[in-house]
Amino acid sequence: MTWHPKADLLEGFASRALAASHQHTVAQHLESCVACRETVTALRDVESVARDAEPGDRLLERIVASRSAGVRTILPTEDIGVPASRRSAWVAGLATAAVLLAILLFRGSREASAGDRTGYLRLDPARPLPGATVQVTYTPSAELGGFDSLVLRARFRRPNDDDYNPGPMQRRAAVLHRRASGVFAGEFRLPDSVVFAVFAVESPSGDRVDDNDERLWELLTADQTHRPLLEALVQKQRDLMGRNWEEGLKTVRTLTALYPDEPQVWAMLSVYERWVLGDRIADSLLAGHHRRFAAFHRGLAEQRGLPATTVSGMLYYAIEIDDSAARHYWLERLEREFPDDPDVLFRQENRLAGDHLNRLAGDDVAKRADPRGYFAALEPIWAKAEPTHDRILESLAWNAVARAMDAKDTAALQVWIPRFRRVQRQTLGNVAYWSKALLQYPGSRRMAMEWLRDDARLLAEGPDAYRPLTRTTAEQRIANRAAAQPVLAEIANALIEDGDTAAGLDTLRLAASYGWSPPVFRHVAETWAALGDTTQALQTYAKVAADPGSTPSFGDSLRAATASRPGAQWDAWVRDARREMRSLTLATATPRSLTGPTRLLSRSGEARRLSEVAEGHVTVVMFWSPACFYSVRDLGTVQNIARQFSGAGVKVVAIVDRPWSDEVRRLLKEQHAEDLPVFYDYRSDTRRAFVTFSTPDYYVLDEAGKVVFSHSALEAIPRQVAALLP
Amino acid sequence: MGGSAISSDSPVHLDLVGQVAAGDTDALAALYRLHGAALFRLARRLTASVEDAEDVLHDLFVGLPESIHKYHERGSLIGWLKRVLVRLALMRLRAERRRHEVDLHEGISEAVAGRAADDFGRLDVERVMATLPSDMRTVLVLRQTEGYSHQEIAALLGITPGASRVRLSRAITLLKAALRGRT
Repeated sequence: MTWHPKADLLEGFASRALAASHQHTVAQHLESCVACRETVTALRDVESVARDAEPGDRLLERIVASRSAGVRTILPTEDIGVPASRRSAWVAGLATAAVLLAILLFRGSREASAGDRTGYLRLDPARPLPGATVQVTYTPSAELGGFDSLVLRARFRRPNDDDYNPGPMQRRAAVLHRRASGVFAGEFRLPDSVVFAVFAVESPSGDRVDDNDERLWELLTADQTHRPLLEALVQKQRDLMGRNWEEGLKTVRTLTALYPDEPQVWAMLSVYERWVLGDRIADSLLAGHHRRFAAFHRGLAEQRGLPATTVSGMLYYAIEIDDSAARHYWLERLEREFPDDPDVLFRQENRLAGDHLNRLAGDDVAKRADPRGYFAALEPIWAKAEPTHDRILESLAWNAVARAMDAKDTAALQVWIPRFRRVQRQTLGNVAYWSKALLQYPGSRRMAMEWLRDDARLLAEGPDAYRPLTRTTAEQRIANRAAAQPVLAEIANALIEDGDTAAGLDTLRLAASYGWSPPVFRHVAETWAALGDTTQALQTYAKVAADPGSTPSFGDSLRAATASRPGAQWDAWVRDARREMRSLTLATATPRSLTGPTRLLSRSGEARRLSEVAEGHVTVVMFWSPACFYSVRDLGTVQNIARQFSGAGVKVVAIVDRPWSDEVRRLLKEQHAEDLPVFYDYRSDTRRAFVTFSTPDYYVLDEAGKVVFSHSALEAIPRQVAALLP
Repeated sequence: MGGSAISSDSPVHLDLVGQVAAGDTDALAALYRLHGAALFRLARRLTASVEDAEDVLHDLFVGLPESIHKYHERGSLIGWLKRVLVRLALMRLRAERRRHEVDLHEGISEAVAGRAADDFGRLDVERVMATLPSDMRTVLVLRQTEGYSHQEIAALLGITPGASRVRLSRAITLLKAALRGRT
């Protein structure tokens, strides 16, 4: 039998850690033993693995950014002993799973990759009482390090603030001054009524913004025990709407953990579960909600003197879990015990509409005897509702305006348009939508023009309160101009209709100069054609034809029509228009590199990196979810974009938020998007790299893999792709 | 083993621990600069992936301010950091296995043999390591590159010293099989 050294000796020999005598003995053996020689070679190879490896340069920045974004991990620091039994191993497994879960929960969407863009903002106290003075220190990003002072901008939220973030909600919170250490510092006093705030830091002129990679920094007000206020968390989830739904779900879960006795937060959770997790998972959670609701109902139904929030919370919980008997009970209580509650008043408005207004019944219109009685009956309701300043006022006034438009009741429009404008949280540019209808009626035409002009003026002035925290002043100028285009087009139309053709055309030209917008160009061209200036019309139509979003047949028909026209240079016009489009489109680019891994699973289960799929190609990246109606609806259009540019080597990657399934397959088939390359973001690290948490969300990458256009509008993607092609 | 110019029990080191525990980001960065590379190399060997190694290191340092008080100055700081890192890496590897991302326990010899005939003409040891089942790779790395005893490995992984030896032996057998084709 051949003698072989024990494993420990071979390992020691491989590590050159043996005493000289042992070293010699083993060496002698190795000369004649192939098997042991292989063992030593293998062990030495293991030692050589990653000997010179270094972490990436940006890992430290990523760590600091994660800390500053509030990411925390719970480390497994407790000793794990040798298992004495299966049970203890099982317990250890549970502990490990719990730690892992904690890490996953805490990492969440706030994990950041730092870089030149992001610094480190510290707010002290981190959980202030309302009205407290907050000290701010900011370790700057590379982009902001060179200034003497910086501006801290904020979006302050009060308990009655509404969902989403449109309107003039932003303000300067403080000026931060540079200290000798290079850190910036300042302070501000939190207004007494503010319960939640988010922040960004920017240069004094607003041309550079550190928005913590779009996550912003946040401040939750708290009580004396440092527990975040219920109102603060409610406002946080409202602020997150549209920008990070998953973080919104987590916030609502936090609400249920901190305020488990409040039915309203459980109703909210039920809503979020359906929105974020989808029907299948939400349905599976419904039984738990039914049990919890029943327990609430048993405890609360007999109690008198409950606050309105509890009663309305029970009503909404009943609605969410579809318990009609309970819904009836809690609605009756809400209306009886709180007749002036804004929610009750809004329901009264709905009933009035049912009682007084004509409505569709099948294919027929069920006529009411006195449709205008609705507006008379609404007056006392409005008189009670308006002083509450509740967020429901906007919906109530909007209903009245819409019903006045339906009824063609210009007297009612004269009353309700000013009211609506008074209570609406204004999104600049939206008036273009309203004015289309209002301009039709002589009674509302003057008001519509005033409204349009007010918006056009505001968009030209660009008040800073409307600028989102994530936008630079230059980006806001572009956004304002884009929003002004349809407003100006409506004003121009009205002017021309009123006989002021010169002023109308000037306004249209102004609208066309505000950015690349095929609908506005078409509008301008049609106006020129109506005025008989065919050359101007054709030159403007050439811009429409140059846009890759237009059908080829559009340009072909015009080229054919102009072939025999003297002086018409269709192809040259289209060429010039393409150059202009490219230049205007690239002016809106905001290039950035992706940081962190971007791992995906293909339909066949193969693990790929986005860079492998996209490398060397202009690439459109779509983030979508089967639970999101809007993203599912867009799949067919994205498939068409993929087909349109496939000849130019453009890639389209549709990244879905759940594994490949029959449901995903069915949706793609229904939207005629079966050929779309769909990948599953199985570690969620791809969306973290993009910093996107909403669907649908679109990005366009250049051939080097750099993200050139972020959060693209679907209709802008073809020209953004075209601008990046040689 | 630490790769640090500052010994573990130096006042600077102990100051750093205190400052990190107090939430000082500069101190955290200093600790990273001292030990990040050595910890990264260990994570890289354990996970056989640059991205996973960076994620593990990220999680370790992000969690340190809240956990470093559990380092009671018994033994070297780098030794404690490595033990925590090993556990983090194991958690990550187990989670991946649960996701069935790669079935590491099936077809290992075929996978290894397949890699042996790769285009480069010689076997990349690192790639072979990546194909080893993670529990075997962990023991191999801890024993051979970190110098842990089987007793220490057993305590760290929650297995018996005998199981540690068996895993090491199997790992070496697989490794040799893969390397046998190399010229």
